[in-house]
Amino acid sequence: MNASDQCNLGTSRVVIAGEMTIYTARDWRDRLLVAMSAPGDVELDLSGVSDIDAAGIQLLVSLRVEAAAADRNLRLFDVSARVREALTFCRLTDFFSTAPLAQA
Amino acid sequence: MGKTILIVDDSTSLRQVVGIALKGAGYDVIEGCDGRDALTKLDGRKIHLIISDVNMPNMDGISFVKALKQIPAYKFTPVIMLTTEAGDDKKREGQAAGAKAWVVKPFQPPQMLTAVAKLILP
Amino acid sequence: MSAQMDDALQTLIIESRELLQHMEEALLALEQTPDDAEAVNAIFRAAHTIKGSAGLFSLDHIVAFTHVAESVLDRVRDHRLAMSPALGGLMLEVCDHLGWLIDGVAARQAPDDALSGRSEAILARLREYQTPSALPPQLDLSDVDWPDGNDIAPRPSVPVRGADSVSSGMWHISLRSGPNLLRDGMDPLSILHYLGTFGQIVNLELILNDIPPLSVIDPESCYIGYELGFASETDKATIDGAFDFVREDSVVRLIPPYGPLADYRALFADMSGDSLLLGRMLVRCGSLTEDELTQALETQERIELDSQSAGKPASLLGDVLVAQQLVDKPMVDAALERQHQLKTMTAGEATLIRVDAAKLDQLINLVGELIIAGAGAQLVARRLKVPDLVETTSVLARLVEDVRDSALTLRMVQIGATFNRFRRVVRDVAAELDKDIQLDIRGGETELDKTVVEKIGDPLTHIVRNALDHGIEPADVRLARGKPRQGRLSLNAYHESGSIVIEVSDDGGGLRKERILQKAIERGLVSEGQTLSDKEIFGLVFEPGFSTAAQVSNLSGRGVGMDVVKRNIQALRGTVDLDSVEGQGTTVRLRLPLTLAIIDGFLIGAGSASYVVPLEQVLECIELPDKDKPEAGASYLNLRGEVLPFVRLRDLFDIPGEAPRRENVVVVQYAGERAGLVVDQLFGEFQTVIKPLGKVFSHIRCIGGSTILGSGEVALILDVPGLVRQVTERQPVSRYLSSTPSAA
Repeated sequence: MNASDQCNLGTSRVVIAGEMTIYTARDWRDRLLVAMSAPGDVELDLSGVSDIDAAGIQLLVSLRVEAAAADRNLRLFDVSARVREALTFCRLTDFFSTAPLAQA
Repeated sequence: MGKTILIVDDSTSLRQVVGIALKGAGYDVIEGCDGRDALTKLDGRKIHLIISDVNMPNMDGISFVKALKQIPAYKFTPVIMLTTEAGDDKKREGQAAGAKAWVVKPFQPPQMLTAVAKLILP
Repeated sequence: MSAQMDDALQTLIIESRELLQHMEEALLALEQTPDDAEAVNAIFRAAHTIKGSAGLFSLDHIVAFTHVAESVLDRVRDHRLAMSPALGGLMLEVCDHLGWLIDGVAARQAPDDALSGRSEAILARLREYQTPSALPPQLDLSDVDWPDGNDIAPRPSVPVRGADSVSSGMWHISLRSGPNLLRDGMDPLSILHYLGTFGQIVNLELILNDIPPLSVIDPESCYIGYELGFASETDKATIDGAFDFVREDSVVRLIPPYGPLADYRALFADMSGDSLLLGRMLVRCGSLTEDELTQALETQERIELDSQSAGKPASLLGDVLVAQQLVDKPMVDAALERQHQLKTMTAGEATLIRVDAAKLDQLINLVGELIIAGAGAQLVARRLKVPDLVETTSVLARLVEDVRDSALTLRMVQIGATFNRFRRVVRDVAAELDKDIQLDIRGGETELDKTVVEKIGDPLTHIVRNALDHGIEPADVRLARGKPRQGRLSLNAYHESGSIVIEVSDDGGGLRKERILQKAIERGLVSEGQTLSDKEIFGLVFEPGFSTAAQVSNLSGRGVGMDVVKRNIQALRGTVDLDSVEGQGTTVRLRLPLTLAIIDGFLIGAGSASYVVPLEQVLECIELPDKDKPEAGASYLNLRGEVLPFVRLRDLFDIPGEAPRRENVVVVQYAGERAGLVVDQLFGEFQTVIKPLGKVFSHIRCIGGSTILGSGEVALILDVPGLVRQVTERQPVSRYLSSTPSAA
């Protein structure tokens, strides 16, 4: 797992790579909380996510709920094939449509 | 890359037969002959599922699962316990220790494949 | 059956036989210490494992038989049933019978009527110990109807539309995950993937409302729930089965195709949250139409109102779960604590691997060839006198020696397992003879070659039976003689100068010398008036056709005498002797080589022939000075003032020609006796790969085998025990040898 956070022009960018599963959910939650502590929109770079499970899915939903409550935008960038497959399977592509899925 | 299953049982023939079935279904299989042996086989590698007998020499299945859940890398690894039809107490003990899935012994290979597929697909 | 499965079946057979042996040992141990929890557990585990493995191969007759034994043993383990001598005896019969059933599997024969009848007879007796509630073995999980309170009656897989049915032809599935699902390694999405293997997920609605915002979420708790429209031809049990492992903590509802609207109403009642929201999801799933939803919700409201007015709580489920957990926890903790206390850490099976004995034999053979080839290379090197080559070949020779030693240790097994088998023999024979006999085992950890172990079983059994039958007196006789009532038989093993010694001792009546002598005279084995040492007298019992028992019992009187024992042991290059004190007991001592394959030898020459003496039996080598040369016909040498019986190899093997001026004496020792071998030349140590002699040579007493030298020539291996006996007994050698073996 590695992450690099950027914060410019009021947009926090978080790179998530490796597993987004129950094994890493707590770490990613902490990382995302840091990103949310800065004002502005949030962008997630999911190009390096190799695996995602229910814990990962619910974490994305949870971030989206948090962002929406604070009236901030969430955008998913560079969604890896594995993530796109999971979101499609869960019929969640519309839910994240405020940030249209970019091409992996 | 196939998903890896660790099978822990003191019966060599059981490990062999289950191994044949799982490999045939596309999983990678590693074996341990009791709880203590299984702990040495983990070796930090990614294991997607563990199948463990309850009654084994050296370290029984319940102690094994408890020890397993102390290791961060395997804290959330699903465990299928091999229970007996009379072993409801053991099943509860296993569930309390963190092994929520079970297959009743004696079973036949397709039954094991079904139980595994409910948790992970190859 | 595939080759792989066939392989596994062989494993099952080997494993079961081992388990049965453990079971038998543990049962016998229990007779001594009936409270041994670990022994009870070992017995249970053996039965349990055999049943489990047999089930994998659909060996239903073994499963059914073992099941009953296992359930009885389970009661013993849980202290609901006490182990009694009768039950122990019955379990030994179970053990034996399972052995026969396994033999049947090995022979690929279905059990015949006699065997099945015996199964039934034993089962009938076992059932007397069984609780009425013990269930028959459940082989097929798919037959189990899971009572989930939702639908007890089996539903036909071809759906029937009733009057109250919905119009959807899909299954409807609802799930609300328990919080620990993910922590327990379960993933609600994996279940969906599994469902996808036998049906189609037509519509899926994830319940997002239950997922909290990031700042309050516990990322390891599971908040996922879904409503699902699922198209599948399969039966309810299979679909329901997908949720087996999550059902305990989660809420699962399954409504069949064209299911009754009442089921949907019940669903609204069971699931917390906004019923209208849930209803919209069901419509999006395609499970309900708008009309059906309206209808369902109307009734739902009425029911809720009714239940509130009746003072019933709206939702019980969570409370029930919590309540159940509260009740279970202390009970579970106590059980875990008990389990922890019982846990034992015994020697590690983990470090052992199973190897086919044939592969080991092949390895030993190859090492044998390697030794011969290595000796050849060394010979060439010495002849060429290239120092570097001599050096490297000797390094190589040393390594080969190490390889040989390692390879041989691979074949070494402890004798303990063989000894332990006699617990059963002693128990059964003592019961049959109505004697009370205690078996002591010592030196069980002593190792010897697997081939030797396999071959000493029969002779050892005969000696033990003899001791039980003829050695140890009946209790009344013992008491009259002032001995303890309980007889004692000991098996002991230890290493002594390259051999393993196995002793079978009893504290019985001992052998009566005068009776043996009298009998030997009757049979013409010795002539009257001949004086014999004790050793010689006792040696007579190993002569063919010799039996001293006044009464032949049905145990020892099987036509197999001690002469057969002696022959078997000699075939293993071993010896057997006997010590006895009348009134106090008898000890039979077997002395066997540690290995039958390769030995460290000492190479000697006489004339043009070479011979090998096992190095561990060589005491020293000395040059025979002219002044000490014995006169022709003499049979004793003066060795530093001591008398040493000797033999010339030239005489022994009728080697023609003159002996060289300088001869050498090799002093050999066996079982405390020494003898000198006068030879022409000493060649030194030599790794000897033993090749058995053919039948032609089997009657020659002083030859134990042959070997191949580096040059390709054959050398004979001297049988030192035979030689020593012959030399010390001063018997004319020519009687035993009619022709000179050629060293071709």
